[in-house]
Amino acid sequence: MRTIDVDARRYIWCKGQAIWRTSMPLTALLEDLRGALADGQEGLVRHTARNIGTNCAVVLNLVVRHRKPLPPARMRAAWALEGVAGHPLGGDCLTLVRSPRELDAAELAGIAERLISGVRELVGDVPDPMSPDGYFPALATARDWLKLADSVGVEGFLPREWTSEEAH
Amino acid sequence: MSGEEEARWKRVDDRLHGYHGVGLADVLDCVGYLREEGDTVIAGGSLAWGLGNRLSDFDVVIVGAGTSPSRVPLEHWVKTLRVDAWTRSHEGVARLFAHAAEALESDAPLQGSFGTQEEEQQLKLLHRLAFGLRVDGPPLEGVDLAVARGLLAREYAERARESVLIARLALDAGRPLAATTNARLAVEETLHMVLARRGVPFTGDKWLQERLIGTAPDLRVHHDRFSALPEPGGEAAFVEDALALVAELGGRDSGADGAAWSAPDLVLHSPGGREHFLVAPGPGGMWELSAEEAQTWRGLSERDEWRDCSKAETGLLVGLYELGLAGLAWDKGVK
Repeated sequence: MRTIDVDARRYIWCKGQAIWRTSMPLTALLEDLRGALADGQEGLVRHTARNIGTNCAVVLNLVVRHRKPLPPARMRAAWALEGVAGHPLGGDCLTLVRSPRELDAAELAGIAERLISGVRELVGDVPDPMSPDGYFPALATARDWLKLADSVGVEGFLPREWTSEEAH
Repeated sequence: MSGEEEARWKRVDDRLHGYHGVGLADVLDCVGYLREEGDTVIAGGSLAWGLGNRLSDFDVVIVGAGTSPSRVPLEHWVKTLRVDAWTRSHEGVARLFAHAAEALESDAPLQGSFGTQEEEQQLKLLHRLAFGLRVDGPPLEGVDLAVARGLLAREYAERARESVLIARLALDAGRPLAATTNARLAVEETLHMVLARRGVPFTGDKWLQERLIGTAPDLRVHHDRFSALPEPGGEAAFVEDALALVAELGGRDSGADGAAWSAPDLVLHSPGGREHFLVAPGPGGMWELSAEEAQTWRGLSERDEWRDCSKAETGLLVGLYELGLAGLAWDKGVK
């Protein structure tokens, strides 16, 4: 048995967010990255790699440092990179967010692939919701974490636009 | 279907066949179970605008008289093509456009009322409905192109206004990464605003460079100049140059005029008078402040509104904003 050395509400909120972000946004970004690289869409590669850098830094903050709340989207890169400055994967996050011109699209994509693999090792196995075989398992995983969040009375992690009444 | 619509239909159909060996008829078959007789099917993602690639999903919106709105995209597969379907009712579409028209008339800021910066869901939906490819069914009523265009331009003008302010304040507060990421964002948001004003349908932030190459090559140089963040030491010049470009392209730099900070959920505790903790019971966290920061916070706490803040107050508030603990609200939208 292992004691979770973080308050249960904080741990569940952070881990649920991390699993969601690894499952849905990061998988979608990886798909964008690969498709863009194959079709020579340099702008999409650069933009997606930037997003991957930010999202991976956010996930690392969640699973390694249990930081909450998440700041607004415009501050997330700065917030997350500051939090992972000393982490072994922090350098790759920063490189992708900076998106230096000396690195071409293929090099940025290589760093992004490596970074996502590293982050997935930390978060654990998450089903791929973008594949026919992973869609329902991904939903089931999300549902289980939402139940866990509900059990300790913390807010879930689904996008507000999926859950708010006014969006419909 | 007009000749132009037919030609577009064929281009998209050919592209899907080239990538996946399936066409629009197969997509219609696949989502047929979601449709009633007379429902309209609109394709509106990147592939429908000549962007996208072989791994892109195909986004469709199904609109009918009594259709229940889907909260999430309903995922389907047609061979290797992923089809994400959204459903909306005629009434829901009319309500969305009426809401957008009212928002455009109003002086109030939009402030994310058409989707978060991260998801952009309602903004994308408006543009899919207005500029998307009608794959099947009758034309939609109540869809106003000018409203969709105007809303997008305004949303991005308002985002850019805040990015400009934060870039400037973060630079002054010694937060170079926050300053440069917001300066880059301000440039990109302004370019989206210019594209929308020129009538280019919105495809989401990620396609900006490809969109500029295809529809506004005169603007690409501006994008490329600021797409990479500067080396350490070059932050101030980068931010100043970016904000000058934003002003040149018609973006708004109103400074902090009309902006007010807030942080309603924070309480300062100073046990023993030696340590100072800012506690946020809602999110369940606490942050340690220096004696100077605590003094600055006490000064803020005595005021009803946080406007025209001093350098120390602004520095503290920018730090809290970066942590997601303080918010910034504007009195008026950008008209």
